[in-house]
Amino acid sequence: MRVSSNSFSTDLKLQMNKLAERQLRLQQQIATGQRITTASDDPKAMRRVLDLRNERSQLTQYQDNISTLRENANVVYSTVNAMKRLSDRASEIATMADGTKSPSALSAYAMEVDQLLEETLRLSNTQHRDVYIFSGTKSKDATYSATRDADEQITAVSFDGNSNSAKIDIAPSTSMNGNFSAEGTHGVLKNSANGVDFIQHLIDLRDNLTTAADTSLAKDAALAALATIKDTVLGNLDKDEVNFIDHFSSIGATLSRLETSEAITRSQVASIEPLISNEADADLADSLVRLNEIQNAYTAALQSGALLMRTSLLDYIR
Amino acid sequence: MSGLGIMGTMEMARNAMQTARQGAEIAGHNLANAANPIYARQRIKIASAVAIQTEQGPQGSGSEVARLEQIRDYAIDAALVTEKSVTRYLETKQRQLRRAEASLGQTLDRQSIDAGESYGSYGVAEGLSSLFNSFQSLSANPTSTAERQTVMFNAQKLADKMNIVDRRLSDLQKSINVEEDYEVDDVNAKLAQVATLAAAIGNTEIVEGAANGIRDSLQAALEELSEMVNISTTTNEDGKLSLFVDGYAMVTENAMTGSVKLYTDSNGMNFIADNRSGDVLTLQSGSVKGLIDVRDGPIKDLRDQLNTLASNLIAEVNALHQAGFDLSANNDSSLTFFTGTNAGDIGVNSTIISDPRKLQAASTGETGNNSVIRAMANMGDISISGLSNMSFSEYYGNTVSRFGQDIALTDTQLIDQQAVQTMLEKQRDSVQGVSIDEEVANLIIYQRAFQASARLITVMDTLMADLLNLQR
Repeated sequence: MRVSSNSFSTDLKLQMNKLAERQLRLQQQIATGQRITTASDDPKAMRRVLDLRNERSQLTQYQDNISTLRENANVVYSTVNAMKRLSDRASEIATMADGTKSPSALSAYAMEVDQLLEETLRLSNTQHRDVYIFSGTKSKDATYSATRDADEQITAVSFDGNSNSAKIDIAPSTSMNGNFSAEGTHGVLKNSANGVDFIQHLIDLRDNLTTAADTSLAKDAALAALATIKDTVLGNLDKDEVNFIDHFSSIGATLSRLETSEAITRSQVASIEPLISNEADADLADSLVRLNEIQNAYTAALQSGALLMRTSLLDYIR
Repeated sequence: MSGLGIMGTMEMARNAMQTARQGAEIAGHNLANAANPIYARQRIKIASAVAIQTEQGPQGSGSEVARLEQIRDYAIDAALVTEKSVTRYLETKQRQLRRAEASLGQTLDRQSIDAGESYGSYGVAEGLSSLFNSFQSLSANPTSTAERQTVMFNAQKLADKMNIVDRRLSDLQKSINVEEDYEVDDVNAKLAQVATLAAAIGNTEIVEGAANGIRDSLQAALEELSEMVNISTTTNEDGKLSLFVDGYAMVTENAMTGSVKLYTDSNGMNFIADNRSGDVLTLQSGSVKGLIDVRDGPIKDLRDQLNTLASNLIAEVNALHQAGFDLSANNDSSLTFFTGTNAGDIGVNSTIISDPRKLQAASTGETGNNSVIRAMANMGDISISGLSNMSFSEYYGNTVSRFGQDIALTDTQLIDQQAVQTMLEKQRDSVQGVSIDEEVANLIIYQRAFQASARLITVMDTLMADLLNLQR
């Protein structure tokens, strides 16, 4: 083949351009650690990476939801725990209040129970992050409002929440109830199905103690009131106690389920990372070796080109 | 008496010296054009001069320059006109597609992802995930105003991103339209140049013989023209050139008889049309075709798909939102979450932005109810019939990946095409390119021939002197 003088330079330029392009590409890969940056680098891989990243960010969101649920469950747990302590004390008083106690002792008991009642009302209106934790989905409404008599004593309470619960997603197509309610089938304080009504039972206890301590009444009335405490109120308080304990175990179960879900989600997030890395990251060792090869070719092209273009027949004729 | 005689021989030597001198001149001309890319090397065709009849038979009378010829391979020239057209078509496509890819702004930045999503590059994909995640987050805390604000912020950010991408893509289409306008002027100028050069070749060759230099320019002009629009040419028996674009005669027998003009369709898109008939030209290759193909192909598809994505997002989210209740337990069935109808004008309702409590997240008047917002969050996963039964992020991922495939395909095609063109250019260079070594070697041959002929004159001169001295 006949070779013209321009062939050398044209060919060298083309070749060097090609090598420079490859060097740039490899340099980009090494500097960023990424095999692909835009969709055109590898459209299919880009698609998979976008899907995987979407999945990962969803899972991270589920983790956030789980954290929210755990936080709520923990707040509810500690509140129910405080209520159970009140219930323990109320049962104690109900057991201790008998005919051997003096009216002043009974009156002191009545006053203490009244305080327990006030404390129960306060706890049942607990707010966490501006949300009434026992109001179901009516979470901006206080759970209970109390009716008081002339002595500012609570005579009745009315429930302003509901027994509904919002479902919160903790995994794809998996949700958990996010709200707790004071009343209803899973009521913490009142459940008509099994005779649980803590506040009413505290009112009963207080009122019976007050009656028993009232010296202006006949002796029979005081004895009857004490008998009611023994026969009815104490039993009712036991039911409330059992209900609190039931809630402990159900909240505990909820927390352990959340913990499991979180662990699963965390391991899912962790397992996505290597998948993304597989698609998007450059193999540094491979890239560096290839860069080295191309650099050798580039140097060789430059050297041979310079040598060839420098010499011609002109150098040898005088 | 036979042969040339002393004077005849001296004449022969003189002619030979002229031939050698012309040879050296042409070698010099070639050397001078060694770096001229459109130049086809020339050489002198030396023929032996007419033989004269002698008693011993015909005797040669030296040499003469028969003609000056240009070394050209017309088949390769024609092939290059076609191939350069295809190369330019693909180059134009690639350039515009790269611009569109940059406009889309969907890149992967692994370093910053690990520092948290919000620090990474923000494309529509990130926008969709963030929006659906903030819906999800609000569903876990339906009464939280902070979460509501986050939802509005993410929705606004996604809407802005979609607006920007759509505007950039539409700007790109507009700039292609403007380029199309320029191309029309360039094509017409080049057509005029081709006609002028073709006519000049005709005129020159009648009077002076081969118009080698002008042929170089004509070939270059044809190649430049074909880089814009694909052309076909014919040459009649008189050597007159006719040139056609999509079958419409633009140059007829060395005269410019047609031209192209800009045609704007009802959508404001520019095309190139035959000036006389007004017919839009159907092109096969060249930069004009490249521009039109990208504008009406991948960029239009990309815009359409983004619009489909946006309009479905608007419809689905609004349908849920309008049925919901806000934090004050009110339902306003006319209160939309998103405003607008497509990617270009999607926005977030300013009523909700100014008061996030108006976001209708509940399905009942109960503030803690999250049914609506939860349904919105789950919409990120479900397949939407308007999106060919894909989810929002799947549909967008599909759009990006298909667009990426368009670019990757063009890249591959261009590499192949460049290989073909380079091969043809090498072949052409091998035929018509100047080799300095070759020309210098020729120069020495002509130099030696000149010296030898000069020597012949000296010898003949001596003979003549000897002859004249006989009389003394």
